[in-house]
Amino acid sequence: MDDPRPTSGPVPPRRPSGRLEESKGPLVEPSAGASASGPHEQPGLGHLLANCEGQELQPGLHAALEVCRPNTADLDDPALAEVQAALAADAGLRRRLASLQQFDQALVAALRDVRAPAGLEDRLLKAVSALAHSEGVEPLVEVEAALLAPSSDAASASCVPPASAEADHAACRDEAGYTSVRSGCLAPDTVLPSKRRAMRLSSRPMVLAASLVLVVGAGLVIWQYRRPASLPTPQQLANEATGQFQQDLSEGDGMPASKKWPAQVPASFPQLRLPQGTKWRTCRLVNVSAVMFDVTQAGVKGALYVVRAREVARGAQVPNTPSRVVFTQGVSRTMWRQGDYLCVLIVEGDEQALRRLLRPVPPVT
Amino acid sequence: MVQDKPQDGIAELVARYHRELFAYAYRLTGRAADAEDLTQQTFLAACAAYHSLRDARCARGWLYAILRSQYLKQFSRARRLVINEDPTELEQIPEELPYEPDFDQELLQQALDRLPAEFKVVVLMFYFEGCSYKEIAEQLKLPPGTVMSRLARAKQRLRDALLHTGQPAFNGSMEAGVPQVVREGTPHVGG
Repeated sequence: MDDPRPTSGPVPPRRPSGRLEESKGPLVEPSAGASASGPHEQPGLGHLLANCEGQELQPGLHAALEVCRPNTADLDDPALAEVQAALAADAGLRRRLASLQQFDQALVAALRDVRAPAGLEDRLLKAVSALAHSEGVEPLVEVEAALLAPSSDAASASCVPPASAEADHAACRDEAGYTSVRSGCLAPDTVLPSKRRAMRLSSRPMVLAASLVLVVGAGLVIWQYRRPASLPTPQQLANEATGQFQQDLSEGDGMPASKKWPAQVPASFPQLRLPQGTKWRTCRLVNVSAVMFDVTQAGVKGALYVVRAREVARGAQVPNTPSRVVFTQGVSRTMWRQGDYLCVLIVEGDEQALRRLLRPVPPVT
Repeated sequence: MVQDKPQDGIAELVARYHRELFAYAYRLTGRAADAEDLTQQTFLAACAAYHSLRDARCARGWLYAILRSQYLKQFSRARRLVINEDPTELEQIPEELPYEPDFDQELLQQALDRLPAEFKVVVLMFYFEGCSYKEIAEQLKLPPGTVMSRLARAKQRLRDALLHTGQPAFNGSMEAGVPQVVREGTPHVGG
């Protein structure tokens, strides 16, 4: 279990925890004073580093000295051969390296001198348990794990053991010296982040679900409102049909060629007097698919345009009968709704010519 | 042997490594709350990816890698300080280093906090994980020369902060000729 020491409040720094041992690196020789009298009696590292000034060194030698860990075979690395040669030839350099490594060892001890807050293990176990029992959380964490590394750390973050032998060696390093964390520096601002985190994790699926619902809802609303806006109004359709009809009149072509009744329109138009063998063709009115019937009769040219009502913007009131006739630019037109279809009848001439194509409306009884 | 059930395996890892991972996280983040969050995220991520751990002997390095990555992902954007790019010189290595230093933990953490994340990770991999510069380079996918340079500069920065800050850097005994300094008003805990 964790150290029962209080976890709140400022952290007092620690007093020295012990005297350092002499570096035992293969190429690091202690100073004459140190080897004669031992670490407790030597005058200090300042003497170890004496007589090093002024010497000309290969570039990068300092960096190479810095990366040599104590009590390791780092200097056997062929890449550090120059350092090895320089150390072999220069006792002052060896003393400087010994000083660095002793300092490093002390720093290692100080860095590890952090004590975990009380109850950390329990909180971690609870979080892990909550994760294991929450099906909705696990994929999120998997995603986090997959996204562990932003860039250079990607390989190590993929949670796959290192591939190379050297990296394997690093990953499987002997744990001696690592497992015991002495009591000492207690992290100062201990709070309960794990609980916070656990709550965040457990609520994350709910938040995601709510976000998803909101997004879908917003999408539906936008779709509903955008759809009518993108559909033509009945008036636009009628105007477009009128334009096409007038163009057909002036060009003398474009009249329907098919006699077989189209499947995409009603089987009949009770409001109209359509002769047998009425021809038709498909066309587009303001990007809406439509069927145009040639309703020319007795020398009076006329056309009926039929579109599906669902492809027309809602809102505009369209009568169910061809009651209102508009005369414009030498043609008359009327518009009505028949079931799921919108019909636009256009006839060359005045309203009377148009009325001749319509069946009489039965009187209301 | 890797446990079949992730929960069991992670529980074992928690018991074994949570202290050192917390310490590592604390050194990286500088705040206990962040450190605990980071530690927990590490174990949760490890739990989710437990199947990828094929050798239990690699668990420690695996956990450290997860923690490092989590840290770089979350915390490295918080502080982006530019470290001195000047090449380090041998003469920058102090002539006299305290033989028996007792680092002021506050100063030590402040010095770490002042390091950019990329440098902090490298220096902590070296000190805390005990990685060689080649291992660091391999794990971070960096050129060895870059790691060597970063490591040297980061260590230099740490030493500068701890030895030449103008503030008392040590609580313990110092070398002859260097005054022994004890931070006033700082309580000590027996170790």
